[in-house]
Amino acid sequence: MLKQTKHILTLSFCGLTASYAQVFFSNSRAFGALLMLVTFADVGVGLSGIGAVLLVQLTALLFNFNEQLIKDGAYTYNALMVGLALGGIYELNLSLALVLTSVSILTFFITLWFMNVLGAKALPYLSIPFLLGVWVILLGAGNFTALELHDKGVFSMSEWWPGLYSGTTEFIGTLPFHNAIFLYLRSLGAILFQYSDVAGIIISIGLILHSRISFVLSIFGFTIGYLFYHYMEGDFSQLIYSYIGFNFILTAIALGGFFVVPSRRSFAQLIFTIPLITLLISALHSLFSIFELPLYSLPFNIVVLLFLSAMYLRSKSSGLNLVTIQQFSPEKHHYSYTDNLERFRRDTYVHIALPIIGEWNVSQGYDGDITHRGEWKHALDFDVRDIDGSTYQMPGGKKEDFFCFDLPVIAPADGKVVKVEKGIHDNEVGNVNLEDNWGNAVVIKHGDHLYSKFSHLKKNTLKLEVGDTVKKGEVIAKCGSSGRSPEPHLHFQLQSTPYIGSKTLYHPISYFVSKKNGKNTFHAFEIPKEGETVCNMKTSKALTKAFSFIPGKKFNIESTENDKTETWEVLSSYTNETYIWCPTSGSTAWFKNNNNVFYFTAFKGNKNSSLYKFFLGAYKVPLGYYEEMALKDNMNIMSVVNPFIRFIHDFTAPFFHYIKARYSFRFTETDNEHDPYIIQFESQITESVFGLKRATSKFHIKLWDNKIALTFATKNKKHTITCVPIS
Amino acid sequence: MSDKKTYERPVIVPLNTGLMNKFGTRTEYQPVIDIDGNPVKDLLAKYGSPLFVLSERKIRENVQSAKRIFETRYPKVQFAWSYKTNYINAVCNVFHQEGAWGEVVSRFEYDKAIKNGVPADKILFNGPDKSREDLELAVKGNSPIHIDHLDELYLLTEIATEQNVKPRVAIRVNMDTGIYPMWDRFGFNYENGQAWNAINKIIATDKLNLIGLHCHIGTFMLSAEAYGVAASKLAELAISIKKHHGKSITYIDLGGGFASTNTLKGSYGIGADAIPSMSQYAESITTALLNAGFDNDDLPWLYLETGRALIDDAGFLLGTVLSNKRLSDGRRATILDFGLNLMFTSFWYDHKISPAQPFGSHTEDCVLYGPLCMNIDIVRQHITLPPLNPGDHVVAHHMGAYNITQSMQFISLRPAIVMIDMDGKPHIIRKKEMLSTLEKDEVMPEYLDTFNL
Repeated sequence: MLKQTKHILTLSFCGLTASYAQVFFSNSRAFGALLMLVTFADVGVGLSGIGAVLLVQLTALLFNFNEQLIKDGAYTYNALMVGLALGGIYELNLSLALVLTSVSILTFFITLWFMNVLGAKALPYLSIPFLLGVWVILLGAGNFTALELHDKGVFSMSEWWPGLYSGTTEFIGTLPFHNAIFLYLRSLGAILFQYSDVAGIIISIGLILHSRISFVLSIFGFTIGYLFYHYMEGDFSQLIYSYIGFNFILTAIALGGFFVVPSRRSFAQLIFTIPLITLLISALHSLFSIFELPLYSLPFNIVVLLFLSAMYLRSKSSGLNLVTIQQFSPEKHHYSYTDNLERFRRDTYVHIALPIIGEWNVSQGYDGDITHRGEWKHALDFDVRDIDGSTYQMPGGKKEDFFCFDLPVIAPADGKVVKVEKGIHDNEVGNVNLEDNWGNAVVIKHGDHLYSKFSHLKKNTLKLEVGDTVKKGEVIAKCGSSGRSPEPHLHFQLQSTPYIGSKTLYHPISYFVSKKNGKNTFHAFEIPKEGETVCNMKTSKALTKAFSFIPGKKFNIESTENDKTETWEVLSSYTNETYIWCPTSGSTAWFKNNNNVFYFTAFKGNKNSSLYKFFLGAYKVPLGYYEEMALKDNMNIMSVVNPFIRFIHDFTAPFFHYIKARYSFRFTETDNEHDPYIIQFESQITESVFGLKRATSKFHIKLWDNKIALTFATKNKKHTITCVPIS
Repeated sequence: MSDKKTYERPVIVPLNTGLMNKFGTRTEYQPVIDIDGNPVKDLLAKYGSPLFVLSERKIRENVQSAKRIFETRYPKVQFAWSYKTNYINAVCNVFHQEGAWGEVVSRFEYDKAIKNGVPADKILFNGPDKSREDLELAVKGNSPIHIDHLDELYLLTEIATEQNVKPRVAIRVNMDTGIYPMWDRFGFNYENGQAWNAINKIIATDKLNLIGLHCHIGTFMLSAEAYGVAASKLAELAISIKKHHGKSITYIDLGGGFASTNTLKGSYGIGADAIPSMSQYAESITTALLNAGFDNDDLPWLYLETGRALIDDAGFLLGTVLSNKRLSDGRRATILDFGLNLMFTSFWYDHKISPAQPFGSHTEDCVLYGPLCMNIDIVRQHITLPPLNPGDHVVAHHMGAYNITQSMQFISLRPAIVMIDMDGKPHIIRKKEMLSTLEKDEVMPEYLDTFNL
């Protein structure tokens, strides 16, 4: 019982503060608490707000609504605004309490309805329930004479400390552009129905602390709206009347960083969308004044919903990117988007390996000069060369003299055979068969609109029939010289339609290694270049085993840094994302392992923890050992850079990044390449500000017997974290 | 070559009443005047006759080509140079530079590989002759040891227990691959279950780390299919090990035995036409392995101990005609300054011998004898050659494999060995032996020191 009461109280408190934060597109409870305090500038307003929230929470709890949504404040923030609005208009007494009870429940129901209807189209319900709820009361209030109009009285802060209020106002009056500043601060306050400069200042400080990008957006949006009015010689009384300009602020935050990933483009777009608000304010103002109804946030609701539904109807989403996973922080949206773009954009490609065994040479790449042109430009030709670059052994007059002739061609991914052509003769060297252009060919389906096609195969080596399934790596035919092929080679292309002769499709090769002068270079999701010698990456068992972090696996961690032993556990979320959880430090590191590469995607928690060191040191590890093979990757600024330095960076982050964090990796040695017992590698993280190196951290990692030891130095002292799986 | 016609003495050709032959008695041989740009005459003048010559270019071409042929058919291939085939250090190092590991069958070869700088864990230790001391050394170096018989298995288990280490081992398996003769004197038999038995012993005692399976089905194999059978059988064992013991085998070693282009005695036609090509061997082996049913990411490595096929045609033996004579049946006999002492392989090959100077169109059937005062010293029982004069030079082909390692100081000393580098420059890689070479380790008891005749 006690436990349940405690649970409900926590839920209610979290939900209460979250409701305030939600109004400013935040989920920060601290920010919410600050906003709550601001509303208590007038005790009547403050209490009405809290009362409305608690009522809805109670209703939601009694009728078993989703507890997480209660906790997030999603059900309650509209009722909160209704409470605040009505508390500002009417005197807080029993009759207001009665009206508030009814209207809160009404707002809750409206919220649920819009949540359901708009949610199905992935659109937000914003503050529509608030508008409907508050208008219902305002339109009908004349009928309830028990409701008394509120007069600013004993319970108002401005009564207690008038100096604070007038003093602030006087100070701003001394600043240049004071009119615009007044208007901005009061508009900001108006969002919480607080029409004072002090409230505006407190909210803006809270906003800066919560999100620098939101703050910049609020000023940017407001300035555009202000300048538009100014230039169009608009009626400023509209802006001053109930400080309706807050619509600029909300729209700017919503479309500049909350629903749209903040970027230069999201800012540029506002230059065109904010004036829509001004048009709507003017038009709706004339209409609503007939009913003596305030517009509140109606223009913001209309523009945001129109904009978002328009964005969803695009045939291709590029340029402006909508936020897919709501993280309640424009910073997170921005950094994780840039991080995703740089690091994982290509991960969405279906993994297509090279269709060959061993080292082959790309004899014609994409946009090749010979035949890879026009609609067939995204194709690869392969042959085999000796050390002198020759494709054949002397005398070279026969197709059998060519090294690649009769070599196996393998399936680059699992799939199903959809088209087969066999029985076309192989040409003698120098001859082409233009009638059967593609020669013996096979088309394999790997997914919707993704097919691979192999051409010029050797006569009668194709044993597959339409409908057969193939496994990745399975031999499908032999390289030949049929069709338009003057000498033996393999033509390989990806396409979106299942025909021989279909146009080609740009699609990178998932993972491969290129070799040049004995040096191995790792490639991930790249197009092999003409003249490159390439082969598929062979994975090493020692690496795949050591990094096989299967959910449920536990590790004993010993660190010489703090002489502590802790336990990590591999878990997976309901969305199937895998992560390592360290209960001691309360940290989480999300990772992916696609059997070719192990990499971390994000870290959350204590940056002094061993897990954080491990996250940095093994940020990205290819699972195949090749001597001296190296790779580089970008790091998310949020997971590496000192928060104070990042705080400043956030202000301009949507425009340019002057802080960079790079990860570099290199295999150093192994005891045995075929059957490695020990594998060692080095990794390094370099942070730079304006191109100047600010900090580097180096890690040395040794794997043996499924154990991982990470060594790093801090202040001339070496520390080792050893990670041993618990069987 | 001078324009002046060379004088050739008249030959007597018996009239045969056999079937008509449109080719007549013409020889297929062309004179071999130089090797990689070095005139035979000059080489012999500089280094003495006879002389072994190795072409570095040809060796590298052979290895690169074999690697390419296998690696473009199977993703994990490792060659190991068979020391017994030719263990002149310069030769071994050419192979090591091309990425080949070492494969040895005795302590002496093991030491040689170590001295050449091959990391001990990249030396495969084969053969039936390994003493306790040898095994201890190999265990210390973490070399893969290919166990030949149960006694070796027991000895190695004993060493592992004593030293508390887990040596890396493979077992050698012999099997019926449909060829005759079946080699069953090395390793454990597949068909009668010996091999599976040995595997179970190793895994059950858990003292040795079983990482590979080895076989060597024969030598100069004229059938590529036999390798496919061998690969399938080893793969089957590997999969059984995975199934029954949950252990993945790191490698399957198919040994050596690929034929070179030499001509076996008694075969019809010349060797190059009769033997399978490297591609055929590769096709047979890799197809068997790829179809064996291994998981794609758990394919074993394919180790190959190919010796002869990689070096035979890179080696030449240059020599000089000592004299001619008529035998009692009227056949001509030519005596050369090299014989069985330097080309042991002439017991089973009809080596190709080319004159090293231009000749006319007439040829004569003859016998080639070596210089030894021994009846068995016959280089070729029958060969059709143009008339040769004392002092003329000849080149014996396909001498790279086994001849140098099996040559002996019987009756005469061993000649110099020269390697011609990639730029055509000759390097002496073993000096001509002197009396002192042979007597260096001889010890004369004092009482035998003097005598009076």
